[in-house]
Amino acid sequence: MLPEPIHLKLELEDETVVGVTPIIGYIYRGIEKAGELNPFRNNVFLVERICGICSFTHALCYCEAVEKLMQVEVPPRARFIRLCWSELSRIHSHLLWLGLFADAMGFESLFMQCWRAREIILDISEMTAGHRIIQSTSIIGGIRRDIDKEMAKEVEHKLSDFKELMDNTVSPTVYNDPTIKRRTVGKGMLSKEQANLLGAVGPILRGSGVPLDIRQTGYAAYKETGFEPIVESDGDCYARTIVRLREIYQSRELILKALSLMPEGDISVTVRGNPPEGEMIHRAEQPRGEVVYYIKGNGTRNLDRLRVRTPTFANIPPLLTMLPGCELADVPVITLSIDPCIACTER
Amino acid sequence: MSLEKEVVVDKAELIPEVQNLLAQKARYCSSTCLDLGDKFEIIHHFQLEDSVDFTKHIKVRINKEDTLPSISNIYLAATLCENEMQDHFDIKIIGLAIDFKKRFLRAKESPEFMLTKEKKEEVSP
Amino acid sequence: MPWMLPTIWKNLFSRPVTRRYPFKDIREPFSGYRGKLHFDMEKCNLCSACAQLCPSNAIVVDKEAKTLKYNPFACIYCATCVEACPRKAITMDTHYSPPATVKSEETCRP
Repeated sequence: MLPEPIHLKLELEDETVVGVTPIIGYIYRGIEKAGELNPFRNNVFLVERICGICSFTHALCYCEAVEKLMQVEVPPRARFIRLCWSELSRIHSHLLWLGLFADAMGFESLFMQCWRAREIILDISEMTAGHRIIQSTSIIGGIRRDIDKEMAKEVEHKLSDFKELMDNTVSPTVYNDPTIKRRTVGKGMLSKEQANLLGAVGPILRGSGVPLDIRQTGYAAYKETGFEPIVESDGDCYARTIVRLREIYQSRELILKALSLMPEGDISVTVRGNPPEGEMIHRAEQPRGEVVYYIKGNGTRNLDRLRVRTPTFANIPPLLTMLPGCELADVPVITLSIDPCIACTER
Repeated sequence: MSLEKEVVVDKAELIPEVQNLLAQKARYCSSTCLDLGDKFEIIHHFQLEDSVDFTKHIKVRINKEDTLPSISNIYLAATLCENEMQDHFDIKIIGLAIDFKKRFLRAKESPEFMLTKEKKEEVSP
Repeated sequence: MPWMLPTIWKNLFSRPVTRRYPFKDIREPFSGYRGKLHFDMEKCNLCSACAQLCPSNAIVVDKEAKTLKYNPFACIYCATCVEACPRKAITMDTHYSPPATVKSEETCRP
């Protein structure tokens, strides 16, 4: 199952793939242009809709880019809560992917368990932010909802339920199951040098042994909570699965840490005026990898240019080098292993 | 405010500069194209191997009817960004590794969607 | 796959975890959920602050005809209007907008 509108033109020799051309363009929505026509404050809701899964990270990255350009200092509490929400979106994105990946290799019951665990995370999102996926809680200057102590306790409680469910079903299966290993180990190899040269991002890059994660730059509150990227060195589909599985656990730890370290105080500052003339580039780590926002202001309430480089866009060239040489039956598994999000890619 | 660590190069210096970065094992991040009115500005963003921050932004300014040398033969990853530029801004890029011939994001029958700034018509007094 | 067996065994005898929306077993929404919009037209003075800030243009205020038109199918439930209203005339409840067969607009008059 590949629920994404991408067309891969494969050239085959018997059962082996020898060449591949990607064809995209089925869901282009012109968000970059719409970002120029909209007032910059409304763009937050626009960029959230680039992707249905990593929507909060899009909003976070856009807000931080505009705040950097306007030289606004966001209250520390807002930065910590932003971290919590972006990690929640990472957990549910990875679980969604793991479910689809299991489904792609015909493992229906693992798919069900992943999505069942994901439901707990979505409930936390709904409880804290008001909506399950497209939260609309990040605004320029801070956030709109606070997580008070009672709610933080409830979140911790739900996260421990979540860990129990993961420990009992999903992770032992992924670590031990021979079916998963036969479908993924040694498939879609990408070496460290290739990953670097082709500009791979996110779990694909870290699955090939490159310790690069944009969270290391310390945006939001990652500097305060501390962060170490998770790296696997094998560079095959299985390594990418393990990177994502370990990131789920790491994200849970990060949320708990952020909730305990969170300082008291305001959650937003009022931002007046328009973005000044100038350009700014900002990056954030989405579940799928690095997202790059380039904005150019011109002193009015509309931006001069909004450019978004989404993670799947950068991961298509590595996919093109992974596919040649594999068998036709492995194409869905390898394609899904980059966690494709074509809606992101085309914007 | 402008980008830190930006380098403005000429069209002819672009390829040697990028090859230089390849020798330093830089990672290609993204490309951005801007319409400055009478010129196009293309920015290539790179990151060096041993740092997590952005390392270099290479800016090229070209006239609107000029061609741009492609860097996709050095960094294959740039080919998608350059095809996108070709779609959005109608820039002529030479030497693309995979050339979709302006059909990267749009189909044959889809309408034009340019990101170029429209020329403001001067109102005669 | 012995590690999945206890779960499968348990699931065989327990109730389904899914709910039969929209017929029964619907979970109560959380208290902070941003649901349906309500306009209190007694408080509203048609200042159109909500209409100006709405990111999806779901609210249209016509001062001459003295009406406020709200399109729930364009609304993205971001609660910008709730925060912007100087007279606190807009409130949100915690329920989803029900599915509908026809896209309709609401017209409110003071």
